Amino acid sequence: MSAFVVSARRTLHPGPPRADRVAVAVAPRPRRALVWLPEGQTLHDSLVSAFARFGVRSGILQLLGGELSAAVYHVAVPRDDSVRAAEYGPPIQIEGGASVVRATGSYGEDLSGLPLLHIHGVLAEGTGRAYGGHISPQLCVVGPGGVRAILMLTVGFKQVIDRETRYSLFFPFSEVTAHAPVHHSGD
Amino acid sequence: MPQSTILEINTGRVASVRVAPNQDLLEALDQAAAHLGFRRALVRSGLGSLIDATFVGANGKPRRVEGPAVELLSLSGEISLDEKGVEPAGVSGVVGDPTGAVWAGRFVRGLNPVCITIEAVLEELLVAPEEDWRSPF
Repeated sequence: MSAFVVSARRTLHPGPPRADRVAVAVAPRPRRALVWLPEGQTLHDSLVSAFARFGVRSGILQLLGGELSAAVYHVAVPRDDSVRAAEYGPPIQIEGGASVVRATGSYGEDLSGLPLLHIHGVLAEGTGRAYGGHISPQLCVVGPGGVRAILMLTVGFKQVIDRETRYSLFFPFSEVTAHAPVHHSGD
Repeated sequence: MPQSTILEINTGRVASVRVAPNQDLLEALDQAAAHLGFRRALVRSGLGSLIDATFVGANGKPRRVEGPAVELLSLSGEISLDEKGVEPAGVSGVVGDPTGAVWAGRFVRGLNPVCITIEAVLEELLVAPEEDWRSPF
């Protein structure tokens, strides 16, 4: 961490900047659910199953706490061999599992219409040391006692090809109201 | 002895927000709230990446966690577009640097540019009319 900051840096991306710099989707007082994710399932399978029980295609989640018997995350690393501005590094496994301190995530359909999760959070190993990054929902396994989560339904995200960053990214999506860009470059 | 300022509140609409690269995180959240007509909003969550993260330091000077990409792990706080009234809490968060180390604090406006993307959630905060919240329960 450095002490003095003069101005914000900018990053050059491989594609042209898209017009919508801030996009939103909104829903009036969405339904919510408190769920207990069962031991032994991956975060991906248990969360997708929970959203599916409500028949929704988009949502938002927060992991309130619990244990992971397998805890895997990624951090962004510089990559000289990529045209993209940043890439995830290899998976990092916390030996012996971890506690969920706080994690939040986006839920929606990927480009094929299949359920997709994007989760970031803070995990703590047994000593209390904290780690954080992009949580791998496919590799994280719910541990003894389960993991508790709050789901918000019908307002969330949907994956879209983003030519600016050359990633397929989540963009706002609401099943109940129209969504629109907020700010266009050059406004 | 000074008393707490108290407002009774309700929550209203909920919005998902995406912020594009090189936009400032706090300015973008304000733009989203203004577009939605949220005079006040709770920042419920946020995840994605910043180029660098800049927090308010203990001595008032900005402190920067340097990227090239810093993972945003948690985001919370309050947005108020009202010029009068109680000062909002600001927006705080937790980030992970390229080594996996975790840092946290209150974000400084104008110094938290988005790297790839930010996905955030805002919840409209509705202040109950004064005649309601002054009434005894």
